[in-house]
Amino acid sequence: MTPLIVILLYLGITFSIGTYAWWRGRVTADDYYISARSQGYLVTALAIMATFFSSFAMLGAPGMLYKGGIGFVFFMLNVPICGALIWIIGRPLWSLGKRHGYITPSDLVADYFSSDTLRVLVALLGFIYIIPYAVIQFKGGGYLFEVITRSSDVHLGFFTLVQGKISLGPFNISTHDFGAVLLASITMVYTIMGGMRAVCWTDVFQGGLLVIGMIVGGIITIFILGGVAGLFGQAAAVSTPGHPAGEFITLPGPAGMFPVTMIFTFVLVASFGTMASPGQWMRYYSAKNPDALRKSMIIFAVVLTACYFFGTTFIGLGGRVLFPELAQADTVYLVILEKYLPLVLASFFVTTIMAAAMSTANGNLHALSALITNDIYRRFLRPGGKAGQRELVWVGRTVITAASIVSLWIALQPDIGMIFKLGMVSIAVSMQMFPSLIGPLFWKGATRAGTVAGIILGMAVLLVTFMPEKFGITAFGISPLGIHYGFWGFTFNLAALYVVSRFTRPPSRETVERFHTGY
Amino acid sequence: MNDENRAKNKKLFRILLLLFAASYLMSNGPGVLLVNRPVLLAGIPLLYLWGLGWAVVQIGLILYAYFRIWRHEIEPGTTGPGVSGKAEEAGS
Repeated sequence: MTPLIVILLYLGITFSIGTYAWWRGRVTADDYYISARSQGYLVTALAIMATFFSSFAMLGAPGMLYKGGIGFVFFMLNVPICGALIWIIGRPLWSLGKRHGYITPSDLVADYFSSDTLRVLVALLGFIYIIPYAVIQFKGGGYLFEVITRSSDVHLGFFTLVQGKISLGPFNISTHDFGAVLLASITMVYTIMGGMRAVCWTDVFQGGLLVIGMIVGGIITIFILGGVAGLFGQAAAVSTPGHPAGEFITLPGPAGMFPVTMIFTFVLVASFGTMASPGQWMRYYSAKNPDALRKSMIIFAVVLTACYFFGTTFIGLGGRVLFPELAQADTVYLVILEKYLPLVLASFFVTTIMAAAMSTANGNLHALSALITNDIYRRFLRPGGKAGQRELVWVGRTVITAASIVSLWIALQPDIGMIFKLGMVSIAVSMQMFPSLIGPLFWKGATRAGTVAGIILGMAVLLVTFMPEKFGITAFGISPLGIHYGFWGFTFNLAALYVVSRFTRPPSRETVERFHTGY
Repeated sequence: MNDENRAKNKKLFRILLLLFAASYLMSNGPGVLLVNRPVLLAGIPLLYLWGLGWAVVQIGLILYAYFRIWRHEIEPGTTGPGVSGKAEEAGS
């Protein structure tokens, strides 16, 4: 019963915050999609952090350390880069967004290049990025609910929860599916109601929880293993047949997962891809002033780096020492909680992982609704400003409902291997969007044709290097030369942008002036 | 901010960007091979200390840029940063 109460308490608080945000909001597109550009620095910082931290950070990252050893520490160095990007790209995006009234990433790119092709392409990249990401978060939520309630035995009238099954009268459902439905429904309802304001305010609560979850998880592991030196000393002695002691604390690690080429290229993909994703982009727009972004940059870089180095690392490496034979590496944090904490505390920390899943799902679903409503519905189905403010909000709400139901339906399928694959590639897809920023923000010579060519070629190269066997290529495995497939795509994307731009006409002088001056 | 200061800040930003890139090459590029040995220093793996050290350098560069350049930037339509670095809305 205890886990159920703790989870319901967490969901209840989250839902109440979302409802309060709805009560405080107004029914205008500007308010619903970007909080009328009113978020202060603490809300902006925690919203960016909570969206950045998915359930991967709490489950997958310790699992990578568990399997591959200390090399994953270097993947964490994407955090300072992401922090710097909050200001380097976030500030000009905020300025241009406020000056020209942009709501989505496509608004800005399409306006600069006067191109509906780019509007649709950028929206499409956003769509490809968001759906698999939301599916994985819902799936993660279901999995967490299943784990935390597996020893529960609850009988309350028509309601029973026994051995991974929930019965309500004649209806039966597995705890996994129930958890996914519960998490998705609550996320969907408060996002529909309160829009960006609800997303950001719940992110503050969830962001705080997940920081606590990571840091305290690390402290618990250190405590169990007799201090930092005790933890590292035992991790250094980890050995398996064919992999002598010491491999666990060197590159590329016992599983060969972390060659230098991979840590060099993946970190660039992860940082640029994440910070150019539609959800983060809209958080820059929703900041109250540049100062909110300035301070967010500092909070993000300092707090998240600490979480990874003093939380995730200790959980992953310490978990390998404590439980060397886990069948599923990404359960390591859950196993530590289950084994060493009283049930009520373990349940609380599981809710911090749920918070990571929900805060990523809500931001992305909300961004998707903006992309479809603003870039497709308003532009092509109701052009010329025919759609009123209320209509745009209600279309957005419908999109969130549809996207949540579709994502949940996919998450409930028994085999979602392909979606997991797409989830893995989603950050690399988002990175292909980054060069579309080069024209409006950095290089006056970038042209519409160059940007379109870059995105198309980048996506093509990304797909070929990610799934070479699907294209009949057997000369190399995934990620040739140990270079991440996202980086291959990005390199070709930039090359095409440069070459094609040299031979085509840039935007008019007035447009360039409008974008490149005044910030 | 006058043109002279703007030019100075631009130059400083470029230097800091180069330093950040160099620190990245040391942390996640060929530089990491310099310390790729199973050695513990004060009970802590050399590679962990290396990664943590470069993270501190990178955050230090961000903080330096914040205090020396970004904190004092004046946004168009504002009166400029106050003591806390907050750019007040013009006329408020």
